[in-house]
Amino acid sequence: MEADRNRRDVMSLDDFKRWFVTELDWSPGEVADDSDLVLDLGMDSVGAVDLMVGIEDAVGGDVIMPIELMLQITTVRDAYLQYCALAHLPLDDEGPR
Amino acid sequence: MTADGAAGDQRAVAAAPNPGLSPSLETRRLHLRVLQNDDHGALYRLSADPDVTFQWRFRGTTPSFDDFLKQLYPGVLCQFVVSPLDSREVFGLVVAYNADFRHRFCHAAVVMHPRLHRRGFGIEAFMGLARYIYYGWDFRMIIMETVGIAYENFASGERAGYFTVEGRIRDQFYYGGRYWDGLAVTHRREQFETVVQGPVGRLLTPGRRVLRTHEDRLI
Repeated sequence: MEADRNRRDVMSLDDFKRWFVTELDWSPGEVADDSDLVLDLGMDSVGAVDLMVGIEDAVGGDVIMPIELMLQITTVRDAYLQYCALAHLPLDDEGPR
Repeated sequence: MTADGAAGDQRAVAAAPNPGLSPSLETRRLHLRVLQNDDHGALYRLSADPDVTFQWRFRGTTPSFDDFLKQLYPGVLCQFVVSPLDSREVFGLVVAYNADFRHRFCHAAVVMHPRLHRRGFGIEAFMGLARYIYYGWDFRMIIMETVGIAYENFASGERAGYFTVEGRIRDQFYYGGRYWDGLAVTHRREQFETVVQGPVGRLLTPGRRVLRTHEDRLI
């Protein structure tokens, strides 16, 4: 599982924006780095679920998107930075799950 | 395999519970835990939060702490404090109430800290409650009564098939200088069984955790 996670290349911001508009049904066709997900793009709770699940899939390895990372996301750039963080944070193999 | 064995297998399949259902109170990121006395203060503060109070039961009024406690339990079938998996921090409350065992439905409500709104955690908490309810009771549907201003936080779920808006009272509630519709929303058992096959199902499954990136409270 760890190897599978490490094999994935981390997207660039431009790649991430292309992924964003392609993978998220609620996204408009174009987004800017500083587009506010709620105020500009209309993300609601259901959209946030799509985003969380999408980022988890993009990172791979059945890794959980932590609450504290999700709470730091306001803009598309924030979402990218937290995607990068999730891709690089070490796994908690000592954790309860 | 013998004919008897095959028949036995078929009986086992027929008797097996729906794999989407579980009495587990843990979701991917959250823990629904039994309400305890030391949660009351945090819930009282949450009930008075300006971004919560008008959409929760007290509708902007400020009951005493004793009156708040008296109204926490009547009519409740089950209710749980919503916390992150690794702490007892109070994120919110999920409640199933006014159960009708003859007609097989109950009502439900979810209240979450405003910082968590539009982040998907209310849906994760609700789906944890729905899984528990549909596992433990033969209910056909869960009914939620909501206000247009709160509905906007999860409105796209109707298009995605998460729930159905069944009733609308136009301009029922007054908040923020305008009237908002009152909505009756149902989440039926078959909708639960369908949506857990999609992205929402991920919310109910465990996964691999990364090392904690915080030391203190999240909200």
